[in-house]
Amino acid sequence: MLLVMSSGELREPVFWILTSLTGGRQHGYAIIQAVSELSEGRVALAVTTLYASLERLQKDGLVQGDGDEVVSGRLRRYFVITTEGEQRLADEAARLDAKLRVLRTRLGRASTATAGGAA
Amino acid sequence: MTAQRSGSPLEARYRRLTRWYPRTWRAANEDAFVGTLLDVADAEGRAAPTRQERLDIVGHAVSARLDRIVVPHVRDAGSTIALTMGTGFALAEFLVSSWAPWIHGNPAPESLVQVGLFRDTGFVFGALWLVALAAALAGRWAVGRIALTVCILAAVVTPYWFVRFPGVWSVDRGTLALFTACALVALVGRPLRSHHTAAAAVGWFLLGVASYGSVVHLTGAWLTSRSLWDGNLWAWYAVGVIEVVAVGLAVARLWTVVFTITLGLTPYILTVVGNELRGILSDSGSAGVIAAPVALGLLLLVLHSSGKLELTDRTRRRVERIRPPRT
Repeated sequence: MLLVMSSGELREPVFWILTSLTGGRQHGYAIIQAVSELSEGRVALAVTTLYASLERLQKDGLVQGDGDEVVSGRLRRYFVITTEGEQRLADEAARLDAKLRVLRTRLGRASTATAGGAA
Repeated sequence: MTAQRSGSPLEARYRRLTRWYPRTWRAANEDAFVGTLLDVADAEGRAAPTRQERLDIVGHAVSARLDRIVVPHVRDAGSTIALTMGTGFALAEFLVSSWAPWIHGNPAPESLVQVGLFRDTGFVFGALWLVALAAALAGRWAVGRIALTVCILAAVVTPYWFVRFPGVWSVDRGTLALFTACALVALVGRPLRSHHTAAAAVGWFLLGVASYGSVVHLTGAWLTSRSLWDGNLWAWYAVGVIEVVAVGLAVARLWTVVFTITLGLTPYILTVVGNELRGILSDSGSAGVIAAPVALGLLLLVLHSSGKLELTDRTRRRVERIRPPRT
């Protein structure tokens, strides 16, 4: 799985996984829960999508493993975001911010023009 | 650290499904992966994997196996080339041989039975490849995968099936082999959604038409699909030029591009080699000349993907253009 789209934007699951990890180390199921909560239920990560994304994020140095723990007979592997991962997320935030600024400016102009036309 | 195996029926089913993964992946990830699957199943109150979960696991596992043969980013780029090549050649075959709108009437009434307007089954393949390209560009690659799977099945079945319909001509086996090989390479990746993909398909289409045109003037006579392999294959020369460029890129250590070219050219090379083995020779040159560099490239690609050979791309330096501040 590629982390970014051809536009350079982070893919949706990758964006939410990184965002969930900014809250601290988490294991697989906790990431799935956090992504669902943060996206207000819009993103339901499949376990395979989670592992495919984490493998790629680890390979690219944006996330790293942070130890395994056995809880109730089940292995839980923990992950943390790296400094590079935080930087990539900050870059994404700046990019989204710039897009939003342009959009809000255009929408503001359009609503002013509509109000002017109605008057 | 390993987890205790509780041996619940659900865990046993998940572990059975993980057998699709390569052994090294299972050794590193199976316990954590199954643990997460069980956590999700508990939260949803399930005692069995869902159908979607089973499909996802098999798909992810196959992808993990393919990763060890061809690295994912090269698979996607190679898939783009194969998709555009298949589409270009299928449409060239359709235009020149199956439809040939400049020919009036049945060109071989003693032996050929037309299917409506069409002289051979190329219209089926032209349509399937066009659907696959449109699906890839629209971001509906699942639809494209279905179209290409149907294309492979049709390519395998039609030469035999049409024996039952005397006079209906199938596309020749060499061209069907090309369609099959292109479809297989396209299926193992996800093509790029870009206008460059559409442009590349047009390029291959023109190359295909030029190859047909090297046999005889296109509007002068009807050309069967087999004619693509009989004349002076312009595509053969194009492949040769691309290979020379690839060698230059290898010297410059731009391995990702080299491997992409290698994988993308594989369907064409396989077809030309297959044709030569069947005694269909082109006027342009031997299949061996263009097959050897691709075979070497594939060997390096597989060794690299399996981790047995480290080939690092040269880092391209990006020159920041610093503009003076406006005053």
